[in-house]
Amino acid sequence: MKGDLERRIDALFDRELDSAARREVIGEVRHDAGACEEVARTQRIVSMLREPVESPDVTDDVLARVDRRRGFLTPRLRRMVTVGRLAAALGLVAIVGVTALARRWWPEATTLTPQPAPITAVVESGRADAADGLRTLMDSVDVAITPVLDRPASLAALLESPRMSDLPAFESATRVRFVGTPMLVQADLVEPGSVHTAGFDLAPPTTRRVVFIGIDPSRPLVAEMRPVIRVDGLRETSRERRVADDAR
Amino acid sequence: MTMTREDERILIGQAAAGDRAAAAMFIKTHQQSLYAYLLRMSGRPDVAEDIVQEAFVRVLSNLDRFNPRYRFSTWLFTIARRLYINAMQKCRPAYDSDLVGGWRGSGAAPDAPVLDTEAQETARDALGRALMGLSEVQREIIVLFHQQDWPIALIAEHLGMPEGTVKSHLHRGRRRLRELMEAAESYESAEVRR
Repeated sequence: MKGDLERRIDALFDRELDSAARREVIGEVRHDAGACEEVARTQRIVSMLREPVESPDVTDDVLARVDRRRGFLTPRLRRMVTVGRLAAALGLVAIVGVTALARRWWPEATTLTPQPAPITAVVESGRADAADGLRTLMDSVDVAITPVLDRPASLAALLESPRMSDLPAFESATRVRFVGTPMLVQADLVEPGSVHTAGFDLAPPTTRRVVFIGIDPSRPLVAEMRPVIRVDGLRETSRERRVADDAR
Repeated sequence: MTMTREDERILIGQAAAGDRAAAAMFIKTHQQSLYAYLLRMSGRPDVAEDIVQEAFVRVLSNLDRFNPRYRFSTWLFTIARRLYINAMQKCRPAYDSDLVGGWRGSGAAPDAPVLDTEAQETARDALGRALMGLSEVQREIIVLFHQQDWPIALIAEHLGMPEGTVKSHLHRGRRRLRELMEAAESYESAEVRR
């Protein structure tokens, strides 16, 4: 049976047959000219394939290339190189991780370019700055409620001064609203039975003067200073009120 | 040059420990079979030599990664095969009979038919051309089985295909090789007669 013989010839060349089976197949092939030629031709090809091939000696080239590339390292050195590389890689990963976390939790600390601040932050900042400024101002204002009482002449001179006379309604109002200077400290002078208000401009040169208006110099009085902040040109806002409260 | 697995294991240990002589021994042991395999696969001695060098460089630079459960030659051939595939993807080889004419067997197999030198060279050229006429997978299986004497199971593992498929390719490849050789011989005979 030709198909069966062909299969057994394949098995022969596949090195699957033992010596007895091999002899049997070869015996059968001898009686079949076509099969005989096929086996001979295949055997010739296989023999040619098995012929050793002369190869160039690449030993020196390979060793030189290995030397250039990495060199021959002892296991200890090789381990050190590996550990070093691993440590460098882990360090890099750690830096990237910490940076990512920092960017997530403290973005302002890790942002190199200025970021637009929200308007609420500006307001908060302005409020804090104003409060700080006011405190500094109040600390610097030397509120003295004395000298003019003993010196009517001085008082008269002050009242005559153009600056003080500019104060609107300073004689009658309990609160002087001063327009034209950024700040006004308003003082309510409390005398038994009456309250008088004096105003003074914080701007030099009257910064440190308090002028009492309409007080009988012969009678003792009690003075209470109540500073008020007004910002020129702005509507009174909660911010101003708050600053004033802070000042109080 | 052949060596036992134990010899191979010792040699790998020495080469991995930085022993240059062991590395050199290693190259000398395997370079011929690797070169022959790549020459049969590519049909070009220059390509085969380049890949042999690169494969040894890679292997010797990474000896600490070698898993001793496997045969070293299998690992070496796997790396060489990948390099060959990459090289072929970059540049498709053309079979050059002049180059292949440079193949010189250092000795004939005992059962090889007796041919005169000229006829042998002609036959080698014809075999080279016939091999290149096979599909890539047929050629590789034929070379690994008949030239490198790898068993079917190892070839199947190396190529990642079932043993039955390897056998089918082997049988078809042998048949095709016979046909191509026969055609080449007929052509040569016709040329001689003319």
